[in-house]
Amino acid sequence: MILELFTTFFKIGLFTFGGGYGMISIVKDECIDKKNWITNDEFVNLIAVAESTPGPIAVNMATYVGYKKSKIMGAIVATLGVVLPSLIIIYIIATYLKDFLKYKVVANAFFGIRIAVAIIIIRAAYNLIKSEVKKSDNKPLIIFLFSIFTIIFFAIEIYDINISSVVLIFSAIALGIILSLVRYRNDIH
Amino acid sequence: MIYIKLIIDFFMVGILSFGGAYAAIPLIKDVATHYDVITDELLVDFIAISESTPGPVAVNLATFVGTEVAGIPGAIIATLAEILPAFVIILVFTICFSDMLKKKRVSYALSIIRPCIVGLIMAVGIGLYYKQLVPNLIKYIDLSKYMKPISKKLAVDIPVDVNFNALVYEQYGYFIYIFKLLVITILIFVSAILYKRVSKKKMSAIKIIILGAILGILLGGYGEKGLEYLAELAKY
Repeated sequence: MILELFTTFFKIGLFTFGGGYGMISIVKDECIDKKNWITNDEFVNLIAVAESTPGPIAVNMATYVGYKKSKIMGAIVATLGVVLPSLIIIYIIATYLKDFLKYKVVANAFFGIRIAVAIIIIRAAYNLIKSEVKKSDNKPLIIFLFSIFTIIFFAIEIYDINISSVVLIFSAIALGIILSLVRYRNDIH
Repeated sequence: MIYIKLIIDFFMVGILSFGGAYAAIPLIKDVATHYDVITDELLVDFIAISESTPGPVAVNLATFVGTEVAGIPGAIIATLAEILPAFVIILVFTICFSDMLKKKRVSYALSIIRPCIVGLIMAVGIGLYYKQLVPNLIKYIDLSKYMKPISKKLAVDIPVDVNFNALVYEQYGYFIYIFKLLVITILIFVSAILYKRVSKKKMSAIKIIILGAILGILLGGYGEKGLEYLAELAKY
């Protein structure tokens, strides 16, 4: 198990292009769809937690999944696994290949990779929202929230509006708490 | 001594970097000024490379600065110090709060929070694609200076009021750019669909990334020649 955690997260670390969100779709593939290590719900909850705590999402994911599968040892191994590829690659580039981005073939490859990463992120988001809608008892609300947040975040992305995503995550959390309090206001437990 | 300084600096970056890589970059820029070996130029290169190589940008930058300051031990120390806060926080959260999440109220609140978070992911994906479509135009115009032969031919053939100026030049460059973008997108979609038909499984994210890299290289190297040829043909 420990070895499997290490190799899986090493692989995830190796293919995490384009920041934390690129890795979200890979983690979903490897840890949910292929291995069933965690559920979709746990996964999205974790993203909320990861986004509202400091540190790279990749590290947060590795720690969480590692701990779930093999306690502290698993958490350590998975976290080291996810950062090891970048440690090695960056060390090599920093020492020998500072002109890395000036090679034409590298630039071309990255052009293709960025498109691929955008596509897999959209696919992951689509699958996640499909499963949210499927199990919800208030489908219109779910779709409404999803669309509103997509539009707001997208506007922030493209117009370079100076609002941190942390603020919006916290507003989503506040909204969740308020609606929950309203729904269970007559419930003592 | 330099190791202790690296540990403290990157541990602080790790604690303070709320909201992912883009929060961490300015913090690391600050930290980098503490070390004489890291010049501004070097830092700009580091950031560009960290954004394109695999792995979290913050981790890559920590490794970079660590390597530059103190070789392999520096790289390892800076990287571990950077990830330690995130590791500890999630560990504590997982151990202490996992059961709480199963309570009825909390799980309802989470069911409201989740669609919002998925909205964020969707927006990041669409935003990434959109950014390929638009701001890269500017980069591409710069690159297109190296493509003079094609543009000259084209400028001569355009029957409007154009003195072989940047405009046509840019549009031609942009045309090829968008064409490449669309071809790669379509090829990825087609292969993903075929893959699913043949193997009955969906194509994994990693396979799609590898496919993207291969298509990028193929279209980059030979695609431009092909397009030049098409442009030639279109003239007749």
